[in-house]
Amino acid sequence: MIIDLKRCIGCNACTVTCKQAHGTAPGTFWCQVRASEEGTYPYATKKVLPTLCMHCENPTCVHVCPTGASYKREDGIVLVDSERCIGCRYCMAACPYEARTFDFGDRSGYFPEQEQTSYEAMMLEQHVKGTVSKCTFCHDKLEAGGMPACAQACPTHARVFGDLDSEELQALLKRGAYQARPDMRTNPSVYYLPK
Amino acid sequence: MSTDMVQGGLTRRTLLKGGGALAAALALSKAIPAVGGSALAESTAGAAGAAGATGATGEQGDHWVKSFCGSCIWTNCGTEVHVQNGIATEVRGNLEHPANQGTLCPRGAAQLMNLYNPYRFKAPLKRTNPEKGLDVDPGWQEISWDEALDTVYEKLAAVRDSDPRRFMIMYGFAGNLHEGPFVKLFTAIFGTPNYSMSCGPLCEVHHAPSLYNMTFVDRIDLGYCNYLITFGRNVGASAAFASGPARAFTDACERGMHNVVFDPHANMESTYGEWVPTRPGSDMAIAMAMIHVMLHELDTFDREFVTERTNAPYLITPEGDYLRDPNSDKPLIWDEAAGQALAFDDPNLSAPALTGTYEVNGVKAQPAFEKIKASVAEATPEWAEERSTVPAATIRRITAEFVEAACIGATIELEGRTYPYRPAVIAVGRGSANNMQGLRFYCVADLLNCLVGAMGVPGSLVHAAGPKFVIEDGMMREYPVSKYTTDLEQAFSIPQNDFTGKQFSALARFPVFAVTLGAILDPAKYYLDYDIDVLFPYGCNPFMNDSNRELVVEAFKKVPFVFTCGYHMDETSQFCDIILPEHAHLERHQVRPIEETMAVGKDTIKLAGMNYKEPAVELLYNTRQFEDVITTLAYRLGYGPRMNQMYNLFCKLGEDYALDPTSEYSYAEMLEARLTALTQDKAKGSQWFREQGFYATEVPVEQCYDYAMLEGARLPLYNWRDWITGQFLKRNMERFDVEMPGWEGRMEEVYREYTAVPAFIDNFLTEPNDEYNLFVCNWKISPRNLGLGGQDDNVWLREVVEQLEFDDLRIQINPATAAAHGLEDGDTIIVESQHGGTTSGQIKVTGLVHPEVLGFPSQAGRVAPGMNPISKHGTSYNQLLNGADGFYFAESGSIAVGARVKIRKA
Repeated sequence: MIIDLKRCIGCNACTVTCKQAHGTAPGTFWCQVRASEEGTYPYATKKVLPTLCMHCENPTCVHVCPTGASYKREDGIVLVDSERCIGCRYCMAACPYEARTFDFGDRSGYFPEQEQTSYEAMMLEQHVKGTVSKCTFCHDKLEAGGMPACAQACPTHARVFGDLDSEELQALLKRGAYQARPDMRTNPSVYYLPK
Repeated sequence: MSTDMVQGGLTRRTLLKGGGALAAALALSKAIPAVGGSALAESTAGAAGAAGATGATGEQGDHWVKSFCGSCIWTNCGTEVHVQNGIATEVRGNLEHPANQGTLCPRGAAQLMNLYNPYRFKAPLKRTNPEKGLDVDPGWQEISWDEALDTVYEKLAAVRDSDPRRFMIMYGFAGNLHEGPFVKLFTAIFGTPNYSMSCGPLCEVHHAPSLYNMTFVDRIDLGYCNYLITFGRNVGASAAFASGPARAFTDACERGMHNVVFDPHANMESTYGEWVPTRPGSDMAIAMAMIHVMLHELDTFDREFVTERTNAPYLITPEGDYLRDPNSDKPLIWDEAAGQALAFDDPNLSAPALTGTYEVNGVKAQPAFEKIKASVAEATPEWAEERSTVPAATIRRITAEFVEAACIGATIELEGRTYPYRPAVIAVGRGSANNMQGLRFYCVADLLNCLVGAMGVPGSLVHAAGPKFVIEDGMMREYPVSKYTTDLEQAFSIPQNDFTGKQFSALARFPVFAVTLGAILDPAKYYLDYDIDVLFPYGCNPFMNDSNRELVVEAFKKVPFVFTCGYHMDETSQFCDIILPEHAHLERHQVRPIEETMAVGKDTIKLAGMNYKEPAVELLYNTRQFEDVITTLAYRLGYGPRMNQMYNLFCKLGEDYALDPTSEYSYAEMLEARLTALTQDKAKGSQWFREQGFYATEVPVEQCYDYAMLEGARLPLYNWRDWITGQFLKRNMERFDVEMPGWEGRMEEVYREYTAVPAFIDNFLTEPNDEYNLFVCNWKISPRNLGLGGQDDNVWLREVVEQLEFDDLRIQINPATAAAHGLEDGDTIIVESQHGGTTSGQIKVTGLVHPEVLGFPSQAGRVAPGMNPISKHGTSYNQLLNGADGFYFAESGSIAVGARVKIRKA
């Protein structure tokens, strides 16, 4: 995935669309926009940085996982097998991108004073207490011929999803694309184009 | 070029099975059965089931339903709803839809939480405690639909039989947003002139577009614009409009468009260009200084456009009127070649004068251009700097850049026709237009655009769809316009006929809310001789929108019977006697024209068509479709023939598709007629739309640019229309010896607002005030855009606001100001308004706001006890403002969205 920061308006459409596509619990964001401020008045500007699991070629989370629950598929997508996850959270500590969340099992949902809605009841079934979760690159959508929910939703088409070796993505990468935290030598599959 | 059809086309995605769709269509077209012995109809969705999703088809598995968004004023975006075992589990953009191209904004992506909101109404309710108040328990009791509708019917029938004017309808942008035919038609169907709007005073963005773009809202032509200046306007980035504006904006910036943002706070757009911090309410000074630089310093403007396409050469009398030919009554222009005044359309006219003074028929007249130039003679950038804090050098530089970027004299050829090419524009939004002097400022900003010829041409401001105009004195005049503006002389009456206040605020686009509320409490004070007996607020929330909540409370308490068709127990519902519960957005049966309104790119400027949706899932609760409630009541009250005929006209059904005036229809049947009339194909009705989700067409490019449509019609560089309206108003007020409540003894202050040339008029924002030494402002952000469509209690959106947004619930303050007040990030402050309102909140110290300004983004601050507690977080910003008599815009009824305040640490 390539995220063009020249086109990102920090709107959080990706954040919300990810929440609904996966029914994550309150406070869990597999994908989000980090907002900050740069410079001083009157030259201050708002800085926005969309983040998600970087699906690294050299994923530290996989290396530290004692049970093999975190794994990398042949196509490069990094996933967590909740059946094998023992909740040790080594991966969370190892991930340089803070892309992982632990499920403490709170099922009170978004309406804690009310009964669970049918939507929440259905979606929360997909999440397993005591395990770590994170962005899946919407692999189920990919397998059905679609694209990750965040990439489709982005109202400015700031996200381009595809084969990084393809001609189209290679051309984009040549526009100064960079990866987050290159010092960690993880070689992320998510690239940013500078603003 | 002929109109190209760009239809939805067959989708790659899962379609409803043909048989299922047909079965659902048949169910929809059947006569609606009576329920429980009542003559009142069952709700459409209840009778028909969800769109092919459930019982009717037996399709319980896993499928996608075509829909469109419900979270905007103009819901352009096509969507698809994933339904699994009867539960909606995902909403995504429709990839085939030409507006949003598969994308969504966060509000659109959050719609499931509007559907699965346990705080919704689940059944009709009646109040058992007659005492009303925001913190008084109404003693709600669940009742049947029969009882609820019978009660409403009896009250309406009594009003019908006495005086239909005693029934008032109140609309606005609230949790249950409605944008359909029965919003505008409603008052006419029920025979009352009393339509009111809680949101109207906060929407002063329609007058100038009607004068300069013959339209309700103007659009920025981002496909060609290279230099964009905004005043208080988001261009689609801050508020993230997925239907095209956000994409068009980033496309333009990537192409190299320079973006200058005059604003008290740095919005998202300004991160792509240049932020010029301003003091709220000072924009008029900046615009006048820009005209000064253009005309008095640079002496550069588009002479051809100004002379031929505006009334700049029209001769003006010392009083301000057009100097007319005594025989033909046509406005005159001084012809320098002929050395005499000729009618504006005289074929012999060859050298129209723009400057000078000429004596014609004993009157010393001047061209309008001379008057405009004189009006800004003293408005130097230094003068504007004092008022706005914007450095004079910055005003000079930006004006010069704007003039240069406008490419005066350049042309462009589009689809075989040559247009002036003016890729530079000044665009005004609510943040500026809804502040003091805002109505006039918007006109002056458009005057600036006209001076460089950047109006209605590629790269500038263009009209939205469906412009209509007439030519009068050679001038374009939007049609139809408010009756008070058009026929002020004839229509003016004392006592007044209605509670709208538009008679006195003669440029009002919407009812004047302070008058509506005040008149409910004391009709005689507002020259009215009757009371309101029944109030129907729907999709509105004056308790949040208006600045004087106590007045709203008292007005609602006074009306003997109040009912609503509502979504949740918001502040408005809290005051009702009967609640008719309605569907969530995803349960509705609805159509909406495809029409981009904010800003357009090359891929959206020509778009037209219609979006369609049906209930995506079985109804969660015992709710009904709003429109079915309306039609049910109308038919029962005997208004059926009138309603059907109005619907025929409103939807342009023509003879072939028109409703029979004497028959009764469900809303689904009414939609079927509208859809087939639109496509002119009886096979392309709701079944076809159910499969496609939308019908899209393109209009020829010459219908997109005003310049082509306005051949032979000029624009008001000199705003004669507003001036003459003020003259009529004054004459009528004096004829009846009346004054506007709130302006007693100072009516001259009212009349001077109707100006023909730029004028800076001091007011409560601009006058020095050592005690209240700060200003407040607010703005739209992507998870909260006007708070409509249920955004204040949408848990996903509020979570983003509270946990991720830079513009979170805190009050933003400049570092220097915080230091001067001994404040640190996270401190709680008390904010006191010059108007008496008070609020408090935590501060966020940021360089993204002007040092004299406190910023209030993202606020909800709801106060209704029955709403989701999350909606109560934040401050009630509007309580700092003042929309009372004597303070709202006298000419239009709008409320200033800024005020002076003082702060102290809590």
